[in-house]
Amino acid sequence: MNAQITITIKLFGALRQFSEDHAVIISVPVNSHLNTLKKALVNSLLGSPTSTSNTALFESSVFANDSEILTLETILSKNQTLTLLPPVCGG
Amino acid sequence: MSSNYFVEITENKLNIQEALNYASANAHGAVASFIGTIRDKNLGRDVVAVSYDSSTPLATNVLSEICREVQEQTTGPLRIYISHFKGRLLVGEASIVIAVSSPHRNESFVACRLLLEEIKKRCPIWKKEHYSDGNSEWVKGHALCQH
Repeated sequence: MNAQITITIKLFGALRQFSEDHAVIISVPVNSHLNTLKKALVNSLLGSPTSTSNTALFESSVFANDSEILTLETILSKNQTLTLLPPVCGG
Repeated sequence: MSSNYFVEITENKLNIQEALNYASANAHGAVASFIGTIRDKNLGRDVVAVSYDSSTPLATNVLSEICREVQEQTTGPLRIYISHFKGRLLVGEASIVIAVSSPHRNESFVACRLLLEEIKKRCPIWKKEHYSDGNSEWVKGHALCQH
């Protein structure tokens, strides 16, 4: 059985409504792709069935660390903290 | 080597004079500035305040990256100041201040506009509008590119 790692995901903007702490902790198998984490996060927060608008919000959101936006092919090899960024509107 | 740009996400009131002071340089004959302020209507609704949220470390990195890119696209040197507010603002208050200088005016005007447009598309900042009827809504924005 694969070892599990723990990813803390900080939520921003419109995503804050999905967690009082504005953060969610998700466990996934070590060396999972970010895509797997996103599916696990959506299942954890939205369950099933989900509303179309909420699903669209998560689909249009991207993961990042403090330095850069990450691709869904990024491999998660250790416990870490990431951010999930919904569509932006600064200025 | 000292950099020719200053960027920040701040919870303090934005300081326009500080922006102009930073951007000014003896070799630069032009300073263009942009001040974004909270307006009282959006899509037909009466806005009383806006709250800004940001992923501050990444937002600061993105602002620096945008400055570097705009400098690379510009002929001649620029000095750039960008300060974006985080927190709640009332109608009329400033949410962003940009000041950019260059030896000649065209580069400052073009760079100032380009900086703002890139910030709107790429910087991890979000705004929630608060309306006179007591409701609030996050403003729909631009999805970030996930290469």
